[in-house]
Amino acid sequence: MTIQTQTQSSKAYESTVKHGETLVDVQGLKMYFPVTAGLFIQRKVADVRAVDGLDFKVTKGETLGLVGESGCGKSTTGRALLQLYRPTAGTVNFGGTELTKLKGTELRRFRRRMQMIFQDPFSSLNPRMSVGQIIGEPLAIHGLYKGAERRERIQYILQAVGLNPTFARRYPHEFSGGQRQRIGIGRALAVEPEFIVCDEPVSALDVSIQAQVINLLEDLQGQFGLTYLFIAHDLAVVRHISDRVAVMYLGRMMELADRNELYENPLHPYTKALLSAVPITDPELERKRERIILTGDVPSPLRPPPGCVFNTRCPIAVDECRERVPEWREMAPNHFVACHRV
Amino acid sequence: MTAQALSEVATVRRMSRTGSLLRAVRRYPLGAFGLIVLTVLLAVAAAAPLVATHDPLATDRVARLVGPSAQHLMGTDQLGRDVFSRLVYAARPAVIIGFGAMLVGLGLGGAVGLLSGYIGGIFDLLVQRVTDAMMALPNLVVAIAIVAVLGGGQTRVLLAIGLSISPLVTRVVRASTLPVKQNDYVEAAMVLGASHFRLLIRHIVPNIMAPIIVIASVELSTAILAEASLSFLGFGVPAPDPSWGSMLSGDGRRFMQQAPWLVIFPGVAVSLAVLGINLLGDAVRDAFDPRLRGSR
Repeated sequence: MTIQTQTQSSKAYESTVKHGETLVDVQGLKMYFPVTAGLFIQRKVADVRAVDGLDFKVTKGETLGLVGESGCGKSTTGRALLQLYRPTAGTVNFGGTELTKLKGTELRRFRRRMQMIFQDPFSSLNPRMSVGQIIGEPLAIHGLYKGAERRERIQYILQAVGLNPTFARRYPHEFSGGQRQRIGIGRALAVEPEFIVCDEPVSALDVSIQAQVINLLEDLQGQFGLTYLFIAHDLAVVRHISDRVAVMYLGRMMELADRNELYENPLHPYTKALLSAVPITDPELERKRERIILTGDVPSPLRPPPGCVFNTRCPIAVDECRERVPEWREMAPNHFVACHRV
Repeated sequence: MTAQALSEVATVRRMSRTGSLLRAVRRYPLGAFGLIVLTVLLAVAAAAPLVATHDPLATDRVARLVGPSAQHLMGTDQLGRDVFSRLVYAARPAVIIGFGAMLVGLGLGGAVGLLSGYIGGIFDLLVQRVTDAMMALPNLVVAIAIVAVLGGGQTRVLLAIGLSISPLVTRVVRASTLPVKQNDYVEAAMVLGASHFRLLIRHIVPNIMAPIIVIASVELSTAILAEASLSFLGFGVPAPDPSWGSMLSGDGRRFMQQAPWLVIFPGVAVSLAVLGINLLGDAVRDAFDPRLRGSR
């Protein structure tokens, strides 16, 4: 059939960013959600500091892993990057364009270049639309490919994500979780984005299917030169897919380093604790190793502790940690950490 | 693509073209019944002069309160008017006011409810308080108040009933919109760059069709009954002209014991219309849902 001959480049926009250069530059990103009270007149009584001052860059072609516990602001970060939430403060520069300043139609047009893959393959597909309509929707929105060309394009995408092209006529409920996730990936790919935020794309899937989807994401990255922000809480998955890994805790970034550096030489006490929680399959080693068990709970993002946000649970915290917010320092080349005790 | 897969596609296409009506009838027999009732109702309303056996306004001093016979299919009322012919002519205001008011209520209430749920915030708060105020009064009182301001006549009665039933639609549509807009697929469409209009029309409305269709059939019956009540109170269809409502509640009720046919036939007409519309509504709702389409 002819569908294999269609290439990704036929309708591509001019991307100004070359492989290996900075694609997304985030500075001082803050995302506060107001808590309001009052029956008719809503007064703001507090802020949930979901994301509180992030600085990082994403390089074109890489996968940046973002890990942390539930509620630490990983997903919020991804959504704030895509301007699904408008950030409270900070800048998000995407290949030279300041996203936080874009409005309405401008922003909608820009969305072609950045997409998202969702965690829940069940709620992320509209049950009333056929697979062909779901994958064709981004094409319709951006006026790409018409008529027969669009149908061909949909079949091409389905094939690219490892689904049978005849599935275009079927509806989401006829598919398994893994297949549905492939459809979601296809929808994101249809407009030929550069940057994809993967918001826990495999955590809702069976382990056997997780590997397939991860491999698919890696293949697609190679094929189309994609850049991923890969959000997950599974450290093994993140280690497998990421080039660099960032660790978040309570809305702040604790540590950011190349994958191997972070896993083999973690500097931040939180990263160490997190890594020591990963089970080892060898029972001998498992028994011998030392586990760092954190006490207490994550504090409320409504009232984060002063100083370093981790000080309430940190095994090596000193007075300074309770008073002063640690700076974001580059301890080794490309190894950033926010801790006074390192 | 394999040859087998291609032939599979071809088979699916052929099936959907031929005999799709027959398959629909087999799958939704009750819906088909509803459709027949509705078609008959519309046909009778449209062709009333052809269907009626007598002039609906002609009185007959001799044949008063006569039971059903070959001469008068459904008997006559206290003035000797042919009940069947009056019933047939009364289908017109029932269809026009019933459907018209239902569409007005659905359009107005639906649009307001959809926006209220979608936009949220202060706008939602204000809209819902106005809705509360309207719902605090019985439908009929609101309708009478509106008719009193606007004046009588078919179009105004239609608008009044439509307005009076719209708060319920607003509530139902808003309540259905709230959970649907939380779904990831709405967010996904936002990420794709969809406009608000597209989000509403392609993603939210199709997913709240089920409650909308149900509320539509409920509102249609409410509207037909409201027309009946307004006619009874003298606001609806003016006196000598027949309406199901006035037949039921005016003359019918007074002579019910001596001449039960005066209420039985209009009553059956109203019930049958409402039942048929509800059955059709259910079938349409199921047919719209891809999850139910293949599994029945």
